[in-house]
Order: sequence, then structure tokens, then C-alpha cells
Amino acid sequence: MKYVVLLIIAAVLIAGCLDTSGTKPAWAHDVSWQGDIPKSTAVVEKELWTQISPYNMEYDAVNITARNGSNGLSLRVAGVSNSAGYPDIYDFTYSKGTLTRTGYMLEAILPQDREAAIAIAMQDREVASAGVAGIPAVRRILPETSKKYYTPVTLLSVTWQGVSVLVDPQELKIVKVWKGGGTEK
Amino acid sequence: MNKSVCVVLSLLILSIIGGVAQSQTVGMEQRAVPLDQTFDAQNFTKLEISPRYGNLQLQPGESKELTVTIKNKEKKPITVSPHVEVPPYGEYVMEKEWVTVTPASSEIPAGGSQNFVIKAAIPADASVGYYNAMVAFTDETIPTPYPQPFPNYVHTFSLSVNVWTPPKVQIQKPYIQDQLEAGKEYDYKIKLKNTGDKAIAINPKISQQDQMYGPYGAVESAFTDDALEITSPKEIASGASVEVNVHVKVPADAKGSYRGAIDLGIDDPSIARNEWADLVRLELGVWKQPAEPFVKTFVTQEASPVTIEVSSNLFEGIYKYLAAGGAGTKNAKEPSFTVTLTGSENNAIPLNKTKTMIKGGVSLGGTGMFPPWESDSEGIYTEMGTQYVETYTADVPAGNLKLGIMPWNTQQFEYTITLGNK
Repeated sequence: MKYVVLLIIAAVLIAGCLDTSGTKPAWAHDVSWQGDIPKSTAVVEKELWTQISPYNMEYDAVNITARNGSNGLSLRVAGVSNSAGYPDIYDFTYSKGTLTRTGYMLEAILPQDREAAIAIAMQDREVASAGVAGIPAVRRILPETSKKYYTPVTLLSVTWQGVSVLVDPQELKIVKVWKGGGTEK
Repeated sequence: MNKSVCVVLSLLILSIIGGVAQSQTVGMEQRAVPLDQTFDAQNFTKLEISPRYGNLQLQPGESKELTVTIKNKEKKPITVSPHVEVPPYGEYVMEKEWVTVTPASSEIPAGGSQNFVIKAAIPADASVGYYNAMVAFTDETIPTPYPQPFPNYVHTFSLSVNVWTPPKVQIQKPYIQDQLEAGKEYDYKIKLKNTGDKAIAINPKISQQDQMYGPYGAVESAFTDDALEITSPKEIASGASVEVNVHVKVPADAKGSYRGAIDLGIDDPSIARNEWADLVRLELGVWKQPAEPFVKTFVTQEASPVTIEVSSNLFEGIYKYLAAGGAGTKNAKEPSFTVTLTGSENNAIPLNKTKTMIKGGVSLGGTGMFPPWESDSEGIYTEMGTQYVETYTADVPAGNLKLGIMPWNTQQFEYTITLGNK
């Protein structure tokens, strides 16, 4: 009996040490592939889960579209949440075991987060005086991009026609303002 | 030429040269500017300071450090002893103790560099506002012809600090955008939440801050502020939420759009210095449904089939997308058309609606379309706008024909009339 208990404890410990990063994270519910589906979807997904994540929500569906090309496998990943009106879209290439992100447009943002970001952006005197009109697009900016303009944190970009405001949602402040035509401050 | 003549000529030439030289000397003396002479005479220590300016946004009780590098461009060691100077003017005056510099002193060898850490620490009881300070790394000053209230230091780093606190009252949605119909009434609610630990007074009223302006001044509005009625409680209890009600009664003859703002009058010191912070913007377009259809008369030489296409404007759709982020407005409706065709005897010619087409505009981004921090979205499809196209066919006799188009929920439309088989 003593040995059985020890074996169970050992099994639990070994299981805990196993690499579970290839498994689907809790925030990704249904995952589906289409197009030129590679044989090694599990391997690609393992990499994918380290490079995408939703913002204050879970993805109800993650749709992956694959296309073979001269530079390897091109992947378009759409993260869709029932809580948000727009999806998160990521572009990747997968070649020789390396997944490289080549672009993203992340609009899956909870309504309250959208409104908070817009409220902060609209409190800027310059934005207000620019006479921005209508409901802006709100997009999430990843830390890798943010570090070029601020610090490597998640930011929200609030964009009207010709005017965009980069907002730090944690600090509740404006990081940068862009006006069409290349003016940036 | 004899000798005496040569001597006279030589003296004459020498006197001319001498006279010119003398006049040049006088001229130079007259141009001399004492300040320039003094300034030029100064042998300022050559120090390279990088950066020269710093800007921090800090809340009371917070602190942050900046690093400034001083490079000695002289051929001898230089001792640098930074000291904080606060200009005795400005919106708010910082205390010197808020800024510290380490090391307090350093001898920088010729051609060498030294990093100085400038730390700004804002006391917990500091007032929100914009503060300025200067770190002078030497005592050298630029001379001025007149006394100055504050020395003009040569080797400086300028620090500005925006001390702020998050607003205690959250405005759930700081704008109201909608498409209204003339002669109808609408109600909107602005939700406010007080996250502070004390009740906060509010006094919402129409603001004069956000008026409509065009190239020739203020633009006439679709209706006046009298069309809006605002009702609200006088204060928001700590932790509570309230609603400000806005009732809009659109006059029957209203046309165009109304753009204005409601100043919520929130008594919150954290937003007191930003006059825009408690404004709720109103952008209300007034849709006036035409009473009569648009009529186009055309002539057919012989009996033939005719195809009529009517479409809403794609560019209107694009504008709406850019303005509204694709989200649309509360009362906006899909465009549609009522199309009629009548013959020369005013007889109705039956039209067959053969198809309804939805046409879109899609962008892949590009230079200048998105801000630089959204450049990673280039190459990803963005739907810009939608166009609705309705197609009708009929067999028409020869003669005068009248096409009638009544547009619904679109400000612009286009049509094509194709005679014969399409």
C-alpha cells in the first residue's frame, strides 16, 4: 500500500513537470483549421498559444486559415469572442519550425474597455479641438509595438478619421497623439 | 614723368589708402556691440547634455527617474555639480526638494561622460497641475544686458511634470451620435459613476465649447440648444451611479446636423484644469425624408427592354465608416429605394426588381491611412463602406418615360438607365 501511495505521488509530480504548453489554453474554446492544413497542427498550435492572447475576455472561436507559399506556411488567425463586435486578426508565417508574426489588427475589445479608451482620448484638449467626429475605431496595440512609442505594455489606439490617440489603459492616460499627414507628438 | 611728380602721386596714393583704412577703422568701432563682445568673450565650458528636456506624468505620491548624460568636450577634466532651480513663475511652482540629482558632484575627465540620475518625487498632498524645474549642471550663466528675475544657466536640463489624478467620476460614454428625423423626439441617458469616497456635485448644461465651425466661421445648426432638455440629480453619492437625461425635440423644419456638447459640471478637482474632460459631445444628423421622389425623364425611340440600377453612395458609406468606426448609430437604418416608371400617358409601367446587390469597399491600409502604431495592421482587410444596389427591369414602349426614385435612409444615390438588352 505504501508503495502504491508513493507511485501515485510520483506520477502526479511527473505529470506536473511535463510540458503542457502544447495544450489549448483555457481562453481558447473552439479551434478550427481550414485551407492547406499542415500535418503538424499540434506543433504549430503550441507555438501559436505563446503568441496570441485575448484582451480581458476569452476567444469563443479561434479560426486558423493556412496557405502554402514560397516562404513557408502563411497563417491567418482570427480570434472571435461573443463579447466583442469585432475579431482579433493575426498574420503569421510558419517555416522550419518557427512561427513569426507578420501583422495584426486586434479589435476584439469589450464595450466597456472601448468606451473607457475613447473617454480618455476625448479628454485631450488637442483631440477635442481637432473636432473629431463620430465613433472611432479602437484597436489593441501589442507591447512589442508599444515599446517603440512608450513602454512595452498593451495600449489601445483610438482612431478617428485623420486623428489617432494612443492610450495607456492601465495608467488611464494618453501616450501619443497622431494627426493625419504624419504629425506625431 | 619727372621725379617731383612721382613723389606727389605717391603721397596722394598713400593718403587715399590711409584715408580708407582710417574710415574702415571708424566704421568697425561704430558697429561694435558690447553685448556680443561680452558674449563672445565668455569661454563657456563645452559640455554635451543629452537629453536636454524631460517630461513626466505622475500622480501625487509617485516618483520616477530619468538619466541625463553629460559629456565633457573640453581637453581638461571638468567638475560638474548639478543643482535644482525652480523658476518662480508658472501655473504651479514646484518645491526644489521634489527633484534630486545623483551623484551630487562629479569630475568628468577630458572627453569622458557621466550619467546623472534625476529623480522626481511628488508629495502625496501635491496639487494637480503642470510644474517646471531646471537642473543646472554648472553655475555658468549667459550674460544679459538687463537684470533677469531668473539666471539664464548655460548647462541645463529642463524638467516638466504633469501631476494628475484619475477622474473620480466615470462617464460611461462621452458622446452621443445619432441620426434623427425632423419632427420626432428622442431620449438619451448619460451614465455617471462616482468612484471617489465623497459625494460629488454635478450641474449639467449645454456647453458653448464645441460649436460647429466652417471656413467662414460658425456654421448654422440644424436646431438651436432650446431643442434639448437636460435633467439630472444635483450630486452623485460616493460609489453610486446616476443618469443624466437628455431629451431632444427635433423641430419639424430641421435640416442638416447639430453639433454641440453638454458640460456635465462635475465638481472634481482632478478634471478642473481640463475644460474638455467633463464634456459629452453631441453629433446629431437630421434626416429629412423627401416628400416627393426624384424624377428623371428619358425618351425611347422604340419599344425595348430597359434595365434600371439605383445605388446608395459608396463614399457616403466610407465616410460613415471612418466617422463611425463601422459601429453605426442608434437610429441609422439601411438605405433602400422606391422606384417607379410611368409612360407618356402617365400610365404605370410594371417594374421587376431582379436583384439587390450589396457592394463593399475594402482597404488593406497604406501609408498615411493608419497611425504609425497601427502599421502592423497593413495587409489585413478592413471593410470601409457598403453600397446598396437595386436592379429593375421592364419592357417599355417608345416615347417619353418618367423614372421616379424615392430614396430612404440615404443622403446620396446614383442611377443608371440601360436601354436594350443588358
